[in-house]
Amino acid sequence: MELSTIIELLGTGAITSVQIFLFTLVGALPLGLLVSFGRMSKLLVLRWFVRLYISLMRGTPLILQLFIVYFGPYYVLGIQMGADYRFTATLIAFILNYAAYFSEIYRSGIESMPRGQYEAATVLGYSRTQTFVRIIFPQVVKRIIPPMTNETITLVKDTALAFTLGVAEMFTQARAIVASQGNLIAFLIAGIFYYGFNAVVAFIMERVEKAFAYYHE
Amino acid sequence: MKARKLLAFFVAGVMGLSLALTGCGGTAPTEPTEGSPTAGVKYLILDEVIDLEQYGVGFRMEDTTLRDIVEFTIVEMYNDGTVQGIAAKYADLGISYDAFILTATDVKERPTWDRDMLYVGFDQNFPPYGFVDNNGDFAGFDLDMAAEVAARNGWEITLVPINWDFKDAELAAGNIDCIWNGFTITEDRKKEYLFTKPYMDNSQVMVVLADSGISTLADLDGKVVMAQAASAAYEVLTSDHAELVSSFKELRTIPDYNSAFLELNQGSVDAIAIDLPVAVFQMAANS
Amino acid sequence: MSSPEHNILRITNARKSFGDTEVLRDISLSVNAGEVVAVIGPSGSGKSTLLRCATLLERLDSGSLCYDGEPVAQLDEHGCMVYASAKALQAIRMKFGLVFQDFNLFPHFSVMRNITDPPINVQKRNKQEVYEEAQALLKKMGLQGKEDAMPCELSGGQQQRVSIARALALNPEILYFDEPTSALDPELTGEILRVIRALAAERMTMVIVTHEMNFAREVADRIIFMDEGYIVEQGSAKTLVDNPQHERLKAFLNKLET
Repeated sequence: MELSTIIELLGTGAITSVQIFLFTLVGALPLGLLVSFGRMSKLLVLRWFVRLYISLMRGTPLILQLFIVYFGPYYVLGIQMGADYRFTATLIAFILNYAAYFSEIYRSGIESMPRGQYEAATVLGYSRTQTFVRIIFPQVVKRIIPPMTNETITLVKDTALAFTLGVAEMFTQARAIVASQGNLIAFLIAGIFYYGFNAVVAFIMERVEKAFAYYHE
Repeated sequence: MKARKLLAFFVAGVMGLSLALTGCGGTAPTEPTEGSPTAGVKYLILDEVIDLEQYGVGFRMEDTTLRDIVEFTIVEMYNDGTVQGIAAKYADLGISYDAFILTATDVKERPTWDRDMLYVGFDQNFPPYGFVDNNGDFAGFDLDMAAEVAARNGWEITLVPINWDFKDAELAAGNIDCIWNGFTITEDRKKEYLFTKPYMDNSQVMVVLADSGISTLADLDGKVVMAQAASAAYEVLTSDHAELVSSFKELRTIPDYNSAFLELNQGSVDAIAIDLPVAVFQMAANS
Repeated sequence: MSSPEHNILRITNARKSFGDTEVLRDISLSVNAGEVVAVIGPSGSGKSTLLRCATLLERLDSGSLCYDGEPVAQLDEHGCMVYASAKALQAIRMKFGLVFQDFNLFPHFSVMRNITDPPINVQKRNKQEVYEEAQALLKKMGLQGKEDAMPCELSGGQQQRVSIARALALNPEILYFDEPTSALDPELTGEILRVIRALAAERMTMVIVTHEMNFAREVADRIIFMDEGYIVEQGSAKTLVDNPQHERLKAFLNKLET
């Protein structure tokens, strides 16, 4: 196999990996916030339901969750999802899993906010929504950047788990090339890819952190 | 600046290598091979065959019509010489036309099927039956056969690379219509799958390093043997060869055979139980 | 509009407990327009809770609370405490401002934004007008040129002055101070006291919870001494400090002097 062919194959894998990464972030960042609200809800039933969800997502391997989301509809509900479900299932599993982790980060950030901020906002007449959107959340974001960076870097590497379902991402492609070529060059390139991808992620998160450095508490 | 680039390349290289070795489960190589890790490694296929067996195409139990069409079409392809042509294409990769055995069928005329897309499930890490070829396309003896069968029946074909461990679930869930990928017919599998008549003879063999001193199955006493997870080799060893297996130090599984050869090369396993054509392909690719 | 008799705040028979601890026991208090009231007392006397109830941060268990003669909270015929609707409470909140002990500025907003964000986003007032007023307030607080500074770049005294400006920007009828100088180094308290004195001179209605006796005596029209949830004694600054009647007040004053 020509090196250019290897790179082309891995390139399509890389695009899929990046897609999994981006779609997961786009889905899990807002979902995680909603989940954290549920986790802090006054409704006992909702709170316990969300707790169960978070503990299941954090307490079982993502690789197993991928399997369950992909095959669950058929084995549990008897629904055949069709050929396009593979990628969707991957995204659903990743988003559900990462939303659970993100929600706990949001929650720790929200709960770390001093009560005085809420009280000042209340006395100044801000509504509950305004208080959260204008006063609390922007400060929470600054506080949770470091743990979010960690999770995001883990996500880059976790995208490789999609190989379980045979999704043609970087690692799946690399495995197939190595299988037919009998040498490890594809794994080497995959390693460089993940490393470079994470370098970019780390760089962006550093910029975000800097953007929030205009004040400290 | 240059030194930095070199360092980055080195780091990335180490990462790539460690990724490649994730399958070895942390077992330290017992005896590192001398010199370069892959070059000059020679293999030996033990004369004693573990098992003689046959491949078939597997379907869901209820899909008799589809099975009949496929079987009918394969025989048709045998009769007009198409199979020989496909086998010749993969001769260098371990396929032998002499092993092809689906030469007659009880299906008298071509049944019709009410769908127009055939989803073929296969393991893309399983050359020479299904793999990624030098052009980056899916290729393999079985995949070419499947493509020709589809063409002759006027169907489109979708090749679905699957994780071999989950082949039952993929088929049952309807994500694929058949498993066509050096799929060994066994008594157990016959209870779960509807097979075509066998189309190819195969033997399960044991591959060792030529300089290992192992030449018979008996020599594997106290050795580490590896097979692909959920493979026919693993199934036949654990069901029909319990005594032999009990003489091993360990029978380990791994997701794909390529990683198994990496393990054999580095000495962390002593033998691989494997389908003969796959062994031929891998030995060529790894030498 | 405000005659000397006009009650801005009136609290009657207020009670408040936290668990088994009674913090306010039958407190009645009214504050007239233009009046400056200082509330003093040992810690745990209930003076901060009184302020938190008046500013709706805590709810009374019993009694009544009125602003400008309008009931905000009162007992219904069954003896249950009833508060006005959430919407009505939002309107009531615009009548008062609160200056916190530890400022509680919004650290992610500049000084200017801290002051202008509530009038613009809560009161929906004209931006230009709000900015001009804010400039005037900053000048009054001696904070010219600090518009774009972040709170973390200011000293404690400056931060507290920003928080006073923030409260004033909503044009409250009454301004509450909860120990406004306790979180400050002693040498910084003077600047806060000067600001409060200036506001008093403008006849701003204020209730100040403080332990700065000298200051209370100088600026307050009336001093209220609280202990164990009761108003023990109240009167003009001079009579209360120079001629205390109650033993507990005497003890409290003695303790401060030593």
